[in-house]
Amino acid sequence: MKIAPLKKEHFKVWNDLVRATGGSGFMQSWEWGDLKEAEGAKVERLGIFDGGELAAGTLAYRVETTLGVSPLAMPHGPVLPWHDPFKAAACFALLRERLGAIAARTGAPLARLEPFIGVKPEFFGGLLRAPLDLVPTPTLLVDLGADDAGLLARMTQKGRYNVRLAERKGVQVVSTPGDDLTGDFHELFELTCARHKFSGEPVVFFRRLMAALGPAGLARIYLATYQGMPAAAAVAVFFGGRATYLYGGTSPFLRGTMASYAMHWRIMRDARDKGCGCYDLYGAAPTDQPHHPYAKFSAFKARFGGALFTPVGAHDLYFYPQLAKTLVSRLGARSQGAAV
Amino acid sequence: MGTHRLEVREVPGGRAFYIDGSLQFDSRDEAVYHEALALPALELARARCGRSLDALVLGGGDGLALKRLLAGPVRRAELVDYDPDVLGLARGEFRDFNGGSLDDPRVKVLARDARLHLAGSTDSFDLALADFTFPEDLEGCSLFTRSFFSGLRARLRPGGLFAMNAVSPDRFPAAFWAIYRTLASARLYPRPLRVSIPSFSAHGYGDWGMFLASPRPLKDAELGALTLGAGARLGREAFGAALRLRVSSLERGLPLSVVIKKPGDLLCLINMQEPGRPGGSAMADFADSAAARRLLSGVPGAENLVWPQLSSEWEVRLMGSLRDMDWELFLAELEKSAAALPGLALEEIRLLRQRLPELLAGAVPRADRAWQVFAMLMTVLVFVNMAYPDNAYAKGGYHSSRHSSGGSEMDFNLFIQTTRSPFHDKVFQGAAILDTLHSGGRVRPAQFVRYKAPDTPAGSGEVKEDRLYFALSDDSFVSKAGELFLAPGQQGWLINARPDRFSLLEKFRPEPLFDFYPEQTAIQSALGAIEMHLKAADKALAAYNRWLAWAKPAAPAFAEVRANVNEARNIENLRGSLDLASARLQVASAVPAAPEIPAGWLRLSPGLYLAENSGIVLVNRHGVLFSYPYREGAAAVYEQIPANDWLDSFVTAMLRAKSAQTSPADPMKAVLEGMLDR
Repeated sequence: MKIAPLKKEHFKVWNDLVRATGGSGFMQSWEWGDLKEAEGAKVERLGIFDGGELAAGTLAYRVETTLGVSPLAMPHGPVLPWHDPFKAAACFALLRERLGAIAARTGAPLARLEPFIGVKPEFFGGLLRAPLDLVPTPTLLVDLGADDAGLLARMTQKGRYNVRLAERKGVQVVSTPGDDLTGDFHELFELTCARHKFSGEPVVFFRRLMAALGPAGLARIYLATYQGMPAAAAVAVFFGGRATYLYGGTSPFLRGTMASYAMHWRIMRDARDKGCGCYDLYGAAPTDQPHHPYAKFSAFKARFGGALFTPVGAHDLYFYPQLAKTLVSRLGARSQGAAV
Repeated sequence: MGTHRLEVREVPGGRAFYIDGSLQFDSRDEAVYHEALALPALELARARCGRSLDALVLGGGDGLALKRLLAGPVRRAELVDYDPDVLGLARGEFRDFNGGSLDDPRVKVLARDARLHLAGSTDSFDLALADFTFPEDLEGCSLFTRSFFSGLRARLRPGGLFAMNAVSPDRFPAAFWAIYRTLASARLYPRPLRVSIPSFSAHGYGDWGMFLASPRPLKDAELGALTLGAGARLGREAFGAALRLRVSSLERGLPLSVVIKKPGDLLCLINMQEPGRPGGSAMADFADSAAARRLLSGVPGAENLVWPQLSSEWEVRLMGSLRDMDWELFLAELEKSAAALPGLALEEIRLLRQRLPELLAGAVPRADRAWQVFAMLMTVLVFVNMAYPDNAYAKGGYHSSRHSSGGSEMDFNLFIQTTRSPFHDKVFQGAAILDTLHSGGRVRPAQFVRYKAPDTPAGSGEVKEDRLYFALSDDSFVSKAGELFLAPGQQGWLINARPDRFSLLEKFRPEPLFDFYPEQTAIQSALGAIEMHLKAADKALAAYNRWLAWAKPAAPAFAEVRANVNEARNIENLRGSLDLASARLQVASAVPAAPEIPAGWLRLSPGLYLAENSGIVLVNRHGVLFSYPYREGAAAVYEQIPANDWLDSFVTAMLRAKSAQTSPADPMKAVLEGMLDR
């Protein structure tokens, strides 16, 4: 096996590999890499070839700021043959060595890995649980392997009732892989951010996201309206066997229309029809933490019948020579610094 | 309503209109102002409604904003202005400028108070403009409260537009952003505008501020698609520029801004020219609503962290990472890398190795040198984590904005995200506060003062030495010892303000020259400003303390952290002085009733008046009026106090300051100059 940078011509074969790898996700897709590059990140695209065939690899993102070099971040990565632990370990050994070389070149003191798997593999032994996750952990996954009646039956009674209530009220849901609903989506997203006192991305980010993922059919914006008024909106990503509810927003003035239920119900059916086996509601509060910031969202999400999945979370691979150099450079700077 | 002094002055090539000495419009550039106020709202309403419009104009009795509306698809307009004299001028002298807008058959003119009109009317409108005079008294400020805006919102049809004239965002940032907050709290989603009007700038008013608002949020796309009339000066480009406001205005104004619930809330902010940060040229583009909202949250870069609550969790995890690190490997690498450093560093690394088990258990005293290296490592790891913008669930790091902002300030937002306060400035980052920060970010050396305080025991001869190191405004200071000092006219004279007397000081004489009557409005205004600064200081300190609990031992290696340590200590000191001043000013004192000052007298400084007969009158601490023989032969109406050189100089300085503030066209200017020519 050998490791080498991926080139543009690997685009399709790489995406096919990521799609086929259950422990990965859309943040390792070629298109997501393009989006990150458009945002200013440096993207290392590495492939591991076994007899000329692409067997594993990763997209590793990093940025340089006034603070120094960020970790080499691998959300939903690395992409390894998880079904074959021995091969996966061998691939990881190659990858580890190459990441170390990149760290030596860029000064990155650590790599942060976050595959979408439930059990920490043995070959992650030396990696440490990261202080911050790149992807929300745990999350709710809705099994989409059923017809409409089956999906409804798996929802909670309240969820089913609200889906039907929205239909009775005449809530309409439209969607697009293009940019025409981005403004409507963003307006509702902003209202929601303000209501929950968190900061959200600017509209330009969503335009970039749709430009990068929309044309390939990887992302759609959904808009639920009540009597022509925007009531709920979402960005959903469809990649491999999994659809993901990445962003959403609702109007505080039209909550009674249950428009968000109609919207998710539409996303779930679209995802199933596109061949996705599950719908990732992207983050939920642990069941034993009623005061967790996600608790309210989780109560809503749980009505669609999902099951809690707790991935292993982000793990850090430290590059001690780089970390030591960073600290030593500060120790050296200290002698010139004023005493406190 | 009180009466106001209206003046129409001839200016080369046009006319200028003043109310109470304050410029309302100059015919040469009034189009810049009135088009910015009226046209965007008119065009947006036209685009939203798609039919002819019903419009309401509150204030704006000169008819100039109305003229712009009538040029558009307005089928009915109501103009409500409380001043019949202004309406008279509009129909007379201003007719050439407003094109006779008040007499247009579509217009109904009502000479009425806007508040009462809104309360008593049930009509609804597609478009409303508010063109009020500058809010410099409680009556004027009452037109900027939440209840006023709520009343106005009730008169707007769904999707209706509202445009209003406000205050300068650069000169009165706290007041400007308070109006913004108040509009938002009345669910009139506002977008701010900044307009440069040459005649306003020439009067020192700065760039002017306005708001465009609606009960239905204005979309970026709507603003982007706005087409403005071909004949108008305000084109698309100029409108785009108007939506860009100085970041320094937000930074200075937001921490002190409040929702205006009562008129006094705004008046306090208008009177308080808070010490600001240097102006800077960075602009915030309010055409991009998300970017603007991020700025308004006061937490640039907060997208790094979705919820602040999560930060404590990650602190715990960071400690976990440190415990689980391969320390053998790391220490070996450290020793290798540190070989080139002076012996001390290697010694410290050895010490770190030795004390590591205790350090990881948190049992080592923080003064320990090993702890210092350990803290530096923690700080490095904090920086490494924060350098990646997608950490903590943010899917879009939005790198481009980060790159353009730069600077170390935002780099610490994870721990000190609420530190953006009036105190966050280089002035407060030194080892001691040796400068004072004035409005507009002007830095001046902190003034020393020597004086005999009233509570000094008689005959002790004790002279206090103090430093005026916090400016509540350009003419009001809190000293290190917690005293309030007023600097009337900014002429070098100081008044030590206490609840029972205002003592006039001269820098070469520690003894007070005169004890004036303590003006309660000045005390209340200072107390209001102090209260706001105390709140800002508490917020800043809480955030700093959290951050420094981690980072302080690492300060020797991080200039950013050293500045933070100094700033926290200086804020603590300032807070102490402000607290002391607040307590002193609230001490209950037996203050005699305020003397009745005749309406025609001109106030020169607290307790010092120019009477109608051109006599100088002083009010002493007991509220008794005295004539002062400033000019030979002036009639003494009250008991006369003997003249002395100090008081003479003081009166001259105050007359000079007042004259400088008075317009040449104001008849009072000649009186003041006449006094100075004695």
